[in-house]
Amino acid sequence: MSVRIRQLMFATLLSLAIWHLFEGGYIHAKAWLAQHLIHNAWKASSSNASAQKPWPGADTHPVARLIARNGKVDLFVLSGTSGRTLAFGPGHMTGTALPGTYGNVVLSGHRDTHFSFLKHLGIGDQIFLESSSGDRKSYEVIKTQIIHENDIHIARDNGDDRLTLITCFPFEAIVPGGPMRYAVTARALSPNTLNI
Amino acid sequence: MHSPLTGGRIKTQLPNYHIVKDGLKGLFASIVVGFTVSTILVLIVITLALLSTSASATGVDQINNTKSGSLLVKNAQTGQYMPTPTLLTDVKINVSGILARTKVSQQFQNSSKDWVEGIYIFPLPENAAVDQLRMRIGDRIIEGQIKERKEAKKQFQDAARSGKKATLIEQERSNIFTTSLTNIGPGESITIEITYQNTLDYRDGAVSLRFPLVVAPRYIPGQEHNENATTSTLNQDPVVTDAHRISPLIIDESEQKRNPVNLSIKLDAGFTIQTIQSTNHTIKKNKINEHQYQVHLVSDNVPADRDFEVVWRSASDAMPRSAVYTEKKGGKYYSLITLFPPTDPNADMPRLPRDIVFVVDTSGSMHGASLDQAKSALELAVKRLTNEDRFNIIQFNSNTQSLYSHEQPASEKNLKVACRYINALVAEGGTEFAPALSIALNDDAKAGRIRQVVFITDGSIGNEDQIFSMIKKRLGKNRLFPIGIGSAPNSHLMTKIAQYGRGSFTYIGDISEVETKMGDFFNRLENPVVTDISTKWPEDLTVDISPSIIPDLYQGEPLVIVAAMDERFTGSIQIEGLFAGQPWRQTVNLEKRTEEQGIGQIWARRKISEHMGSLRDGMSEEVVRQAVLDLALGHSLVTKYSSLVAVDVTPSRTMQYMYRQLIPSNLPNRWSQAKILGALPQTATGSLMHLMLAALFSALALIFFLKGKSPKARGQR
Repeated sequence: MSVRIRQLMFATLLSLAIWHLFEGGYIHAKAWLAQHLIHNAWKASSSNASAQKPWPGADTHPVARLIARNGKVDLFVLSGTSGRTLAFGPGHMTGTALPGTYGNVVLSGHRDTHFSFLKHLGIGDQIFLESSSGDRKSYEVIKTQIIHENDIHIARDNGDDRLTLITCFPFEAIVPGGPMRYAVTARALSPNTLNI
Repeated sequence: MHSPLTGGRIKTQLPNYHIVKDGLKGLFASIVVGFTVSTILVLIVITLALLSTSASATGVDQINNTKSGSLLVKNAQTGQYMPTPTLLTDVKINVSGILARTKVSQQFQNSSKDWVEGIYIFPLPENAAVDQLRMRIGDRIIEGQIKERKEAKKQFQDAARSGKKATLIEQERSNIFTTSLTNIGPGESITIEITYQNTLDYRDGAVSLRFPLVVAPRYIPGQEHNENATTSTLNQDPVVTDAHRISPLIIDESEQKRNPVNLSIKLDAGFTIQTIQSTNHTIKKNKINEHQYQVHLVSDNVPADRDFEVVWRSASDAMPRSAVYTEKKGGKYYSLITLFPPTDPNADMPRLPRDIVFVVDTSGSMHGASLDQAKSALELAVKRLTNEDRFNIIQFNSNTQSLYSHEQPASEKNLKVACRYINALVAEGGTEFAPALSIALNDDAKAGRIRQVVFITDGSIGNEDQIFSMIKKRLGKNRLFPIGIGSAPNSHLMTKIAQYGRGSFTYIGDISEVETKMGDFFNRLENPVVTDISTKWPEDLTVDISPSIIPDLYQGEPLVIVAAMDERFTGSIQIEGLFAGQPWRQTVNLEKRTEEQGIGQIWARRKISEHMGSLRDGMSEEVVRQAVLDLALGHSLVTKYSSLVAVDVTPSRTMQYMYRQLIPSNLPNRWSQAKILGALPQTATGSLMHLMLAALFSALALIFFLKGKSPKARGQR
């Protein structure tokens, strides 16, 4: 192998490494930064009572604030679950109950960024969901399960008041796009059982 | 060679060559280890990639490739999706006047070696009142019972556990239903018959019947957010963003043979039929007599990507002035009344000048044929305007943009500008409908003028509730006319907009129809015949009529009302309104009537729809639920709160108990839904993969770096 080819290979591999490092890091950076920008839009939404876009040209807006693990997780939930939306924050699945209302509120998020905390949730853990009007609803985890992505029954409304959090499974899969999902089901606690 | 790296390295190596020698051994070892690890990593990554693509190829892609009428079975052992080879759909429609009673038979065949259960999701017409379920196993028939939804579900689940065959029909959205089946044995087939009634569209001497063959991807399971409203200031996502996941990527030709649809109509028009035509499909017609035909869908060539529509026209002047259908059921009397307002072609009708606002959807979903249709429809519309009229054009996607700040006279010069504006429209971006609607409703009709708002859209709009409540609040004397464009527009949304907006809904399925459909549309738009309509019944009669708000009538359009009465009433009723601005009154005699089945269900279905709509006005869900449930259980209707369930008497899965128990309960062996409802969102990023690849490429780069170095280092010895 001539030196030139070796150097060329070296340069190519190094740039590939840097590019992948950047791509991988960028996903996390975007996920992190977006949540900060959304925070401002959220404050504006709350005071104006109208949906505010987090940045110019955004095709989504915050619809709720999700708090879990004793405040260690504090996320802004966006409207819709397209890939573009989920890069910035967990998304509210269109067509399911709106945050703050009665029904099955379905949120999904990326397993390696915002929703990586789902693996730490256990039965009995409390989750809070704040709607833009400032009302806070509490939920208690009753079930965690692994399902197929076509098992959309999880997103159905069965007539009870619940919160469903969905992310990809397995959490550590290297290649994205697998067909399995991890779902956390939490039932709403009635307001008088709250101790906050 | 002249790179600073190489140069720098040689200089430092010279004085420290012992260290280099020892270091090289270590480096060599790490190269070997690094290379091995990297190779393993590469192999892992490739394997994983292959595994994940093969998994999605058998699952997601297959689902994506499947058309709406199909059904997939998940095999418990392999976890792979295999389409069931036969799901036969047979549709038989009986038409009498504007009443249609339809029987949909779905024959499921389980060709796998396992006992399976499954769900099949299918669309029905917007106003369908599903009231009957029959489960046919061989020559045994099990009649379905109407039950409260939860109870029905429980019965179904109990049956599933005890090995009995069972079927459950549930309503997902007002026009989307699911069939669940359980305990279908290997090689067994089962036929589900569902019956519904609906009223057909009747205008300009033509009756049109639609049977949906496809559900556009906008439908998302879960809460019925059309009908279950919440007073919230929040937007729902305006477009169904996971549409790409639930749209077929490739249309597989073999699917058509796999899931054939037979459709036949026994047609009794009640008038002399002049023509019968299908908009999107090939049909065969057999004439029985002047009024009656037998119509078949030619099944070899059924494009299941378009809704089926048949239109039959009367010979001119053959239309009956009014018609009354009645039914006696459960101690109540139901009447469906259709009435045509007088249209004297010789009478000079005063034509009121109009202010007309065209709102056109230029979002990404309109791209292609839809936008072309919209453009030609819009151009036709603009060219129809006269000097007295004023107009404006608003386009919306992610942003809203209007041609003028407010309506401008339809002068020759302005029309030229308008045509140029229309031609330049480009479909791109999201669907922010509410701001456009808000601008359109900013004004109200001036004295002596009519103000109309025409929407041209495919209706892929998510925040329906917000739109309906805005229309209710701000309509004033405005009238809204949605025009549905594309192969499968959201007719639920459009119908509701037309209803709340006191206008009417026009559907254009193909570019070739634009001219005729728009022609009919303009006739209606330009000639409002009767406005402010009310009905007068005898005071001592308890009567409940639907719709409670009667829309304005346009030329060629009948008034259709359904009434429920506590006692038989054969007298006359008065219908009053304003005919071209003048008081108008018409008497309808209920004595001349035809007995017909299903009027009660049609009345109940309309009432249920009104109740569901009242949720939007802040009515409490509990009150609405009770009212809907009373109607649904009384009339055996499938609603959001009630389902039809059929359970076999004897268990059939006795032999298979052991096998059944082996299946983990959280992953039942069941049929997965077709592409209609799609999949859960994709929730993994490639972050980890990128970081792993970064590590891998660094390792490889290091190898090349060191390889480049070692021979030289050796040469120095």
